[in-house]
Amino acid sequence: MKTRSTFFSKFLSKGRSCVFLCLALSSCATYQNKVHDSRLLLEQGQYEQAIEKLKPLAEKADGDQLVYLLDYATALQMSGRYDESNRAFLKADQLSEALDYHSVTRITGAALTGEEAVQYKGDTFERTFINAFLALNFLQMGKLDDALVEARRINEKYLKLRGEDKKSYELNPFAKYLSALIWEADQKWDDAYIAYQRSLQVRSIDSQSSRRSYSLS
Amino acid sequence: MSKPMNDSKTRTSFAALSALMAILFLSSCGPKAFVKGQYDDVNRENLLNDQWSETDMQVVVKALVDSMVAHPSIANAKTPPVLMVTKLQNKTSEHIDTQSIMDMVRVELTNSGKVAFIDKEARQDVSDEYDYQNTGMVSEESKKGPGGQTGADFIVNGRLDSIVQEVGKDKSVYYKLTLNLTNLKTTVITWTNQKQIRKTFKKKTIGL
Repeated sequence: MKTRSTFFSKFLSKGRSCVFLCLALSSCATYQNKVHDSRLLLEQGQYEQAIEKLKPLAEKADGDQLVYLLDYATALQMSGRYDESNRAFLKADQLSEALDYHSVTRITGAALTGEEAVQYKGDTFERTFINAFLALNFLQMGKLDDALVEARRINEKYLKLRGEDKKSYELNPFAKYLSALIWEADQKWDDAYIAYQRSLQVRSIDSQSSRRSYSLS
Repeated sequence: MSKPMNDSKTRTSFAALSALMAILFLSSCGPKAFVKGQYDDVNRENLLNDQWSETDMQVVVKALVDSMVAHPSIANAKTPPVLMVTKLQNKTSEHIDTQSIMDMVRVELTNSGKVAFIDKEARQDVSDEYDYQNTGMVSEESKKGPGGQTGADFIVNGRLDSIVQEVGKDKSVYYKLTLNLTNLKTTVITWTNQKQIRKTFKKKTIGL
């Protein structure tokens, strides 16, 4: 008695090759491949071409939209288009809040196919960097009130992450320091003092515990 | 008739295959957009996300306008006082259009019939128009010319504050709108009031 029907074995062999083809195509173009050209263009100062390349990637609503959106927004900032950069950063901010979960399906998929299957959620400190970049853009446009709103957002995120007992680098001391500068620009000395003190606290915990310097470059 | 599922090797490979196919098919099928809309009642409570909503604006403005109109300096005035709207300071952690809130305040107060407003935003346009009218192009009778504007009696300004508390899956957002009616001559605050609202939220999966 045949233990395997001929139809089924044909299906398996054809199906297997088809499936592996699909998998190969889906993980073919990694993030590095897709942004490599844009990165080179940005380094050479050719901002407009880099923006053109990044724009379709940033607008495609798939699992990895966040990372391309961040690159697109940063490229716009480098080219001086602060208003558009802010719109992209605000969208990235919303997206990073919504994606703050672990998808069981995708993690299982990643175990079988590759890391590309997992959505890009952004590191904890990266999510605060979005607000820091927004603040920098608003300051460039001379909008101190909007920069203050971002300083308050940074503070909210800092308190939330501190409540979740995150590591010191995840509390993003740079963003806290930036918020202190913004408070000082608004002549709110008390808020500035508190923010300076907190950013120093976070920074010194890091250097004491891990002896790794958190470089701002 | 052979039974393919009896063989353990076939079973595992079929299981692995179906798992892989399931993962591939779990990605979205086809482009999506918001279509087929329908009009909604603007006065219905609408708290779709955890940001400042139009319902919040309607609630706070209505409460404060009712309070201001009931105050003796407005209600018992012999002639309608002339007001001017200046800045509403945004001290929240959201990018809220405070000019939109002050526009609503101005509309509601004007509709009450108890006060009049002067237009601060139009000043530059009006000044340009005066310059043009004085060039000789405009007839003498219809010239408006400088010196005819009404001086305001009061200024309306205010501040919007918020306190956000977020722990785990619970979030509470508290807003407080404070408005002041300041006498332009004496800078005495004739009337001031606040309206507080708090919204609570729970973190939920948003289906796509």
